[in-house]
Amino acid sequence: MRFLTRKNIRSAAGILLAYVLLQGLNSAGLLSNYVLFIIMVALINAILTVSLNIITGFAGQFSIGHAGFMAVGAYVSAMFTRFVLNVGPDTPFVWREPAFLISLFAGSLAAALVAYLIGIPTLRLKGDYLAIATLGFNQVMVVLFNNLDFVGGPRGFTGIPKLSDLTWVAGLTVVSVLIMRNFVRSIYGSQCVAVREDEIAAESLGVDVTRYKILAFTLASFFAGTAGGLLAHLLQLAHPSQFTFLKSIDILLMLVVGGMGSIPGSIISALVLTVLPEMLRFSQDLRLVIYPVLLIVFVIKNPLPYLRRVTAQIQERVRAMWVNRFGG
Amino acid sequence: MRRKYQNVIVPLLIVVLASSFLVGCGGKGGQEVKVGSIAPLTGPLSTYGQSHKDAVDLAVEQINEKGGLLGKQVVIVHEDSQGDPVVGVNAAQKLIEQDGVVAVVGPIPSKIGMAVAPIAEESGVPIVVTGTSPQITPGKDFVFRSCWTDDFQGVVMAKFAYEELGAATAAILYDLGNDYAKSVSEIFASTFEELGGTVVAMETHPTDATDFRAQLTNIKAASPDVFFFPDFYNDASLIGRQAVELGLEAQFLGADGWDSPELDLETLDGAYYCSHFSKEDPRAETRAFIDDFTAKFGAEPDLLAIMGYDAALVAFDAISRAGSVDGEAVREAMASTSSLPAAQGDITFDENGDPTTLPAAILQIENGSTNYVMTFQP
Amino acid sequence: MEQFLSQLINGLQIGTIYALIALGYTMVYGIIKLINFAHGDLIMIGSYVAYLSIVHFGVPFPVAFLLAMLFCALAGVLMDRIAYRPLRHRPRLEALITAMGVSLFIEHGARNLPFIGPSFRRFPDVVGVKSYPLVSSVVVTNVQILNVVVAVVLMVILQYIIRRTKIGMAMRAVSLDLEAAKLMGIDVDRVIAVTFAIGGCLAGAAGVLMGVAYPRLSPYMGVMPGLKAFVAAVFGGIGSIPGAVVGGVLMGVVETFATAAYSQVAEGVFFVVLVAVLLFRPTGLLGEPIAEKV
Repeated sequence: MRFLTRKNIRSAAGILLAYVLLQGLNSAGLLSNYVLFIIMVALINAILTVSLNIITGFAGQFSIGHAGFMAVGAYVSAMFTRFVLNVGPDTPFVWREPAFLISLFAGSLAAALVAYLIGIPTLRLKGDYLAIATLGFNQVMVVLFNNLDFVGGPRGFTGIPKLSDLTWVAGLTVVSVLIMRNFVRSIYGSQCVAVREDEIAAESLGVDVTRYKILAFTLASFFAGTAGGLLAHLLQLAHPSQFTFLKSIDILLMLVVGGMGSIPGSIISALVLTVLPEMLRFSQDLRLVIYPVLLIVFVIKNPLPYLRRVTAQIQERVRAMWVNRFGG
Repeated sequence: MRRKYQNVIVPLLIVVLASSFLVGCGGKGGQEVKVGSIAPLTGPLSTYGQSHKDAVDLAVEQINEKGGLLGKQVVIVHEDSQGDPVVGVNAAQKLIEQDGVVAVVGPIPSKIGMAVAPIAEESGVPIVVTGTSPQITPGKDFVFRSCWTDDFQGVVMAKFAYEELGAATAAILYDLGNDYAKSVSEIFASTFEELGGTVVAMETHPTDATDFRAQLTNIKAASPDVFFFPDFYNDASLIGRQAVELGLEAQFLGADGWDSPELDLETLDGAYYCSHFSKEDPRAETRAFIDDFTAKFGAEPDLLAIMGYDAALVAFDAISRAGSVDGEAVREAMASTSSLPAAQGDITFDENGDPTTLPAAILQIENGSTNYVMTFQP
Repeated sequence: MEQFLSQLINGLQIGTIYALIALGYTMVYGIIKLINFAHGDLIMIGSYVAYLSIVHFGVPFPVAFLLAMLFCALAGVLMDRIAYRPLRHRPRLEALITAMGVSLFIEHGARNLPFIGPSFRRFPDVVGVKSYPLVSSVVVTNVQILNVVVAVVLMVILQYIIRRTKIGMAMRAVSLDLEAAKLMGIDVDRVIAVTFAIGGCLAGAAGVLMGVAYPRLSPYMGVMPGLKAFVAAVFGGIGSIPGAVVGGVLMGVVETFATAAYSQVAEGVFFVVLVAVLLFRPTGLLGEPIAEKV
């Protein structure tokens, strides 16, 4: 996996620009906490959607338990911050930031480990059966955390220090997405796509199907754990009810709307589907009905190729105008 | 070439979306005093949210009739928490930053309160929660509460069972995903045993369960004197009905979660539960509240209504005593609230921001109505 | 011993309801290989239809029961026609996601309807509950008896339809091999519609029974029972009708005993058992191993 490709540098430049702008606004006090919060949640959702894309979009495995790994990441990273590393409000900056990184890493690693252990037996199941198994796993996680009193049980895990800020969230989003994108474009990624397209054919061509399924699953869950950890340190709370299969379905929705197998699609869809409900706060009830209709329409009519064409046409026009004004 | 644009569009989108929010940043000055309210207006606890909203509206109407606060009219901004902590946090931030509220009333249930409390601390806006979980207030300067906590009501019910009813054995059933029911149950259990009783069965059920027969059969086999199931009213009604069907003969007991017009009075006939007030309370302020609420909304207030009303009273009282809308000033005034004549009783805050003098009323269900039995003082 | 018997009766009661729902899942899966996630919500529709007819229109209970079944049959057919038929030749993942969308739409949509609304509704007491002592302190209620009897009757009728009628034979043919059935001149679309209708009927019946036994209605009441019944269907072998019955009843009994033994983690234990079974018999207890053609 080569990191310093032209594409990566261009993407990095664009994202850096946006980040500097936002951070500038933030430091100038022009960005309210409210907006900042929403942006961060949107970015966290983006990580979740892209990671689910790896499992479902690229490797073709139907998983509706993604929120379970998020939960593992959230709780484990919070446990590290609170109990192991004892980070509090008066911990000095020099120690606080690396500690956060360690906690997040621990949470993500735990999520990946759980995914690996669960994956070995269950990824042998196909399609619908895998769906139930992952659903079951998700429920088990919720019940588990509800029963663990030392992390709060049904009260939720409280008192988590607020370590997530724009820098962390944006930075980790970028890193996660880049790693996942490079994975997909690498030889490992194409093996996964082979598995998705036709398992039997792939196997007969020498692709170790189970190994790649587990690899995709583990990698994706690692980042789901990261997302969970970031959210827990943003909300300062981790509650079992946040990670039920309904959340998994929410992520799936974002994935489908963005287009399975399309990473930029997943990111945009996550952003839009997080911000939109906030802007539509006045019509909560209607939103709940519109969402599933959107989902159904998107799947049946599949307007994405049409949307892509329109976007491409607009881009062409903009580019033509640019060239006209300033020359190539 | 196209790829390049695509990679720039995504980040630019973020910035554009962000800037679209910059419009409409509320300020604290102006012709009105804005107060915020957070409640589950939609979702499974929506009846609670509605009660809360109605009661707060009543309080606002009453204070505006008397001339408002600091010479200005009070405007209330209601936000929906949907019973979800993330949405609740969003709501709180929107109220504080976009609407510029001086204080926040609510939220309930307790888990939303826990999520919102740190926001109040950070932004310096006092909130008066109406949840009963003991952990919300300690250690926080800007978080106050307008009702007693689970610590208190667990003790009340245990004492009532042991001392008044003479029970020696008790069985408990609660919703394992409901932190309120869990904490009340645990406190009841430990108090009951301290007093000398024995807890013969402690069962749980998952949230949204509809079939409790397995647990009830276990409880029946343990033959308890009292059966305590402090879930919210809808679960309690189902549990009571199945217990009766199975022939479970024990004295049924509940907690303040039972207080709702939708409680199944027929099935739970003869049961006792505790609440923040009794409709027969002769106290002047309580009567006034009940009468005003019933007159305005055509239905009797429940516990959410009275807690919300009192929370609003606490906020208004603090603002008027502070004489300004400055967060720190209001907070100081609120912390020194003493003997404020609220609907539930007189409110005086302790160092945590919890009221120390509110009584609990024990009510009994008889022949389709609830009757007052006795009061426990803290 | 008597506790065992009590719990067994409890398990049978909920188990037969699960079986009715599981039958619907399994029939639809057997025919078009789709897990209809929206099936659980048909339960909710059935309950509410019965509730509304009794409370607002004063309809007597047996008629309300039939109305609920009819309405749900219709709902099932509509679901197929609008959401699933366009996807019949597309990858199954898409149909699965659409099914989820339909389910969410029904749940949230129902919630917004003013006569259903977000608060719980109480199903009226149409069957006055009476308890009959069985053995020493073990009781059985008339509701439980009604439950089991109705469920069994419906299952027997279903068996008759499948084994002894032409349409039943057509259903079996289509579930065996859709293309071949088409070649044989069977109107596959119609058969599929009938399957959805029957599945809907059973779900509606389950909904009414649930309303009577657990009289608390909410727009989301079908989610958990639907999920559990789906798991039961897989457990028993999805696509197999006796499997659905066995799976449903076993699920109810196992769940009851697990809850009685250790109520705190009963829910979790249940899913662990499921995964364990799937690992050893990936097509369920009574399912047939599927050979994949290359």
